[in-house]
Amino acid sequence: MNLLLSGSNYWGVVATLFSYWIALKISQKWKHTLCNPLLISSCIMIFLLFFFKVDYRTYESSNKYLNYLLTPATVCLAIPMYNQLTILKKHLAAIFISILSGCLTCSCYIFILCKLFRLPETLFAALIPKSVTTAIALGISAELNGNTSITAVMVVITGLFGAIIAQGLLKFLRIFNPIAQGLAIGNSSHVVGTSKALEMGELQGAISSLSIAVAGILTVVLSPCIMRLY
Amino acid sequence: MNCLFQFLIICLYCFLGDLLHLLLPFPIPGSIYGMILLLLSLILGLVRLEKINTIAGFLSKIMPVFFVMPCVSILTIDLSTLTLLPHILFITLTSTVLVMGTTGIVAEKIIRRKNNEK
Repeated sequence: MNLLLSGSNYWGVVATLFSYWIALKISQKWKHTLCNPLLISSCIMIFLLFFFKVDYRTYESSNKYLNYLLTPATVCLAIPMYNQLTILKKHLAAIFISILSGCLTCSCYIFILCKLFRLPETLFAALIPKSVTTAIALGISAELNGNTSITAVMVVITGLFGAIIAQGLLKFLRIFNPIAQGLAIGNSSHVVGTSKALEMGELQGAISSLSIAVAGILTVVLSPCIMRLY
Repeated sequence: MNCLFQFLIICLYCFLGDLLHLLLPFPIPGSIYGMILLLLSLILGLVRLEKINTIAGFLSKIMPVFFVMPCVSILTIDLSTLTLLPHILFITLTSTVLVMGTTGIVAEKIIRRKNNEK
């Protein structure tokens, strides 16, 4: 099977697109936060590789051309930010200070715990960017020589966990302002959280999607600095 | 033709981002440079949103597909990392609560103070 498939550059793309298409159908049917299309399609893909006894390397070499498009897609993240420019200008101080304090606390906390657990450098580098959107997180992790597979999985887990606890935690901490809610959700659980924020209200959703890009850029700048300390 | 031009512009920004990544000494990925350059160009009016909207919309819509492979690559992690997985999960989950709490509380305080001043 490995030998046959390694000759084709397209089966990996077909399998990835197919598993994502199925996952989308499932998540549209059961509208639960845990029915995240990325989570489901990754599970389907892992199952397929196991079932047909295909090596991950074979899959990677056949799918890498699809991921060639990740860079242009990341560049296009500028557009949602541009669309929210008026909101950004209006609440500039609140957005920047709160996101910066969130990112700083997160980095320090991860720094202390990684030191405490004596995690190797590659894992520390993999965990720092875990609260930002996958496209940016993978870039940061790769740049700092982190373990990108850990980053990818932890970003998804962070997003799902954040979306699940969002409403309860915000209520518990008495955060009722829609802007503060959007910032809290966007900064902690990126895109997955944003879909939850959109359910809570349009303003929350807009602020949340804006804070993804702001948090991404701040983390890009912050993480090399904290990496140097480790 | 239209789509070709849109794709050309977006790829041009990827290339410019890569160039900056190669030329500047900071550990910032080329795609982030490209994103910031594109944002500045949109604000300054160098590129109009309609000029890139179709392709950009398509790319943003299919973006999650690009993350399937990084997630599947968890199959390749070594045994020493696997034993640390509970620690990693603990850090991930608790820090998510911390970030959400800190960001929310700080934002709420700033907005409240701003409203009181008015």
